[in-house]
Amino acid sequence: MTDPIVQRGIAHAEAMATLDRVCAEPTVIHLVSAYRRFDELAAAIPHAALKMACLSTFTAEPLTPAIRLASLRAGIRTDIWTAPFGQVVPTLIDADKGLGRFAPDVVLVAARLADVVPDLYDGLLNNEAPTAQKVADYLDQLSAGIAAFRQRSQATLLIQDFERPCFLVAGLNETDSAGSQIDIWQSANRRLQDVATVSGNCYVMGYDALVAHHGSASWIDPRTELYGRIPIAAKHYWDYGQFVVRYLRPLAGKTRKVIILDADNTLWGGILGDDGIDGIKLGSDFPGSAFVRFQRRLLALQQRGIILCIASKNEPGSVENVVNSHPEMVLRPDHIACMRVSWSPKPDAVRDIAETLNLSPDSFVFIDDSPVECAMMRETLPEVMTIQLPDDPARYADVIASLEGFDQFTLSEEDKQRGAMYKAEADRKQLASAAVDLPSFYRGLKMRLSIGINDERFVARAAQMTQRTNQFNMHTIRCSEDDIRAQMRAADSEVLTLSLSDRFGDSGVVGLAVVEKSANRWLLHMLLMSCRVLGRTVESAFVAWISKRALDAGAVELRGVFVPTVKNAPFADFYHRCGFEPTTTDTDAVLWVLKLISADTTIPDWFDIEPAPST
Amino acid sequence: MKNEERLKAIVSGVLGVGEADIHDSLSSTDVDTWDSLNHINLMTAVEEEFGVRFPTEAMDRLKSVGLIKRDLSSLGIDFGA
Repeated sequence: MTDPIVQRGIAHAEAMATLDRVCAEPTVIHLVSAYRRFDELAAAIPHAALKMACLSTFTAEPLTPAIRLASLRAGIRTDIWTAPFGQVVPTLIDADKGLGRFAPDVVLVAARLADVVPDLYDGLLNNEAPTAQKVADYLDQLSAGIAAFRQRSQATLLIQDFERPCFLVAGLNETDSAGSQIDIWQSANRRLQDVATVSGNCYVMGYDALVAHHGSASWIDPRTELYGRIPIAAKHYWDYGQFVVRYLRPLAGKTRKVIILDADNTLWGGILGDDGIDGIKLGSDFPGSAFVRFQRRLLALQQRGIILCIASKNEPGSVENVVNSHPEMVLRPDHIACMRVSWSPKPDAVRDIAETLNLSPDSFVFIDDSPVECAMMRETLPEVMTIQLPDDPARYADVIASLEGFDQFTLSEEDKQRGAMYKAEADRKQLASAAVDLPSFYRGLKMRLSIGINDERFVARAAQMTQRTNQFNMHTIRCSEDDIRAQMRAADSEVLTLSLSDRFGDSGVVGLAVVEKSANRWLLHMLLMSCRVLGRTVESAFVAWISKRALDAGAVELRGVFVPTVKNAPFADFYHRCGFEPTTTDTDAVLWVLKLISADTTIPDWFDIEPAPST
Repeated sequence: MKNEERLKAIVSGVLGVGEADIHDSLSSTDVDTWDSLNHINLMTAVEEEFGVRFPTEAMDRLKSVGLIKRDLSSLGIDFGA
């Protein structure tokens, strides 16, 4: 009999292989055939769920299979409600009807200006009324619709920007001077950005760039546009699906964080063991120039917070030597959080890196040129996104450009520092192996905690933590910045942000708690910690600090909610370890209670803490 | 694969009808899943399979397997006599 966990792994790998085949050749027949098996595929792939309403000025139903299959491939089950054809603004305004009943998590507003103000796209600049006025009127309506919707719902809004007109009536004289087609189109897109900013939790999607990338002449099929009001050509359904998924990933907490790179024929040309450090191809002439460009793109990702690691089958020390001392290397030791150079299987190296970084392999991307290594990784760790490099190194840089899964709506200071922070974390692990006992290790770290109470400087980071933290997250609620701000301002709640620094560097905000206060009973409604700092008693110190604060405020009980998910299981007994007792046996949620009178609220002596709890 | 079988595979794949039930007189009125949405899917899937492009008026007209075969024949796809 096969182990059920192994069996689930096989089903997962097979379902992903089906979706990968669709991705490799997304013809209508492949899309439709795979979509017929959607429920079966969704059962085999662990996923988050999102409810998405789709409001469009064209027939959007043909895109549904592509959006849902591409979502599932990213680990998101997207259930879609489609508004009546062409009813974008009325649906937004009348949000109590179909849209309100559906209660979406996210609303996709796919309005094409070409559908609502065709004059602009047909080059008619003053057809009874000025086209600029018609465009402004439509944006007024859309803006009013979004404002009306926002009053009723906090769902995330995703609004497509407008594609560039192609038929330019002034021909060679078309410029972006005032009143030209291009000028009107540009103002419309600027206005859209303003509408999004005013609304909050509303993001403009780069639809124009998507059309431009594929070329307008290829993107639009005038036959299906005129016959069925389906402007997007069938060969681009999948591209559209992937475009939408880019925006869903951060909402579902499905962003990737780590890239694990092979070395030989990936970071440089040739085999280090055969060619030696002086013989590998890396430098200003091809093929070395292709690898330099590839590394530069990786460095750019590292600088905006993606963590880079190396897993190479080579003599231990040899790859490290190249990274340290090859004159043409772009990636240097400071950029690589973790290097595993040995002859052991790569899935073992990846598991080891996951443990070192305290991150789950489902946030990893693995890049290798070898089909054998890629196949082994896909079979052993299907949750890792495995990418096999093309044969021609000149195309490597494009692989980085098309990498899926790293998108975020906002970039915080922590993001930019993340690579360095994880590097410091790996160094700490080395110190740990040298320390005699854990307390001496902790004291050696010289940790400083700083706790912000309703500190609005941390709103963006707090919201981001709720979206990205999956493991140490007691009650996985995803919050927008507005949600956090509201909780900070409410009289009966408190948002606590925990920052950590130590002698290796500043980790920034790593802990978040949302506390609901009543006279004698405080409730830890949300408690989450960044996994990279676990194992240093920071989480229990945070709870001890909160307990002390509750006690000082006159409370007799501190309660904590734990709602199990696939990811947070390792921390199910955290409250127990802090001295809490369970009060319910309901498996969907456990309410833990700490009697403050008898609780130990002392914070270990290895922390410097501010504000210090009063004594 | 013969063109006849290729076409059956496409019709079956898009509409979810068994290949054994697919014959020339099968039309959009016989099959529940052959709705306006799937009709566009069927037209584009046939185009992708055979590397042809139907004129727009054909999209409105090719509502049976036999009609699709006839237009494909006129575009040079051989279905035998």
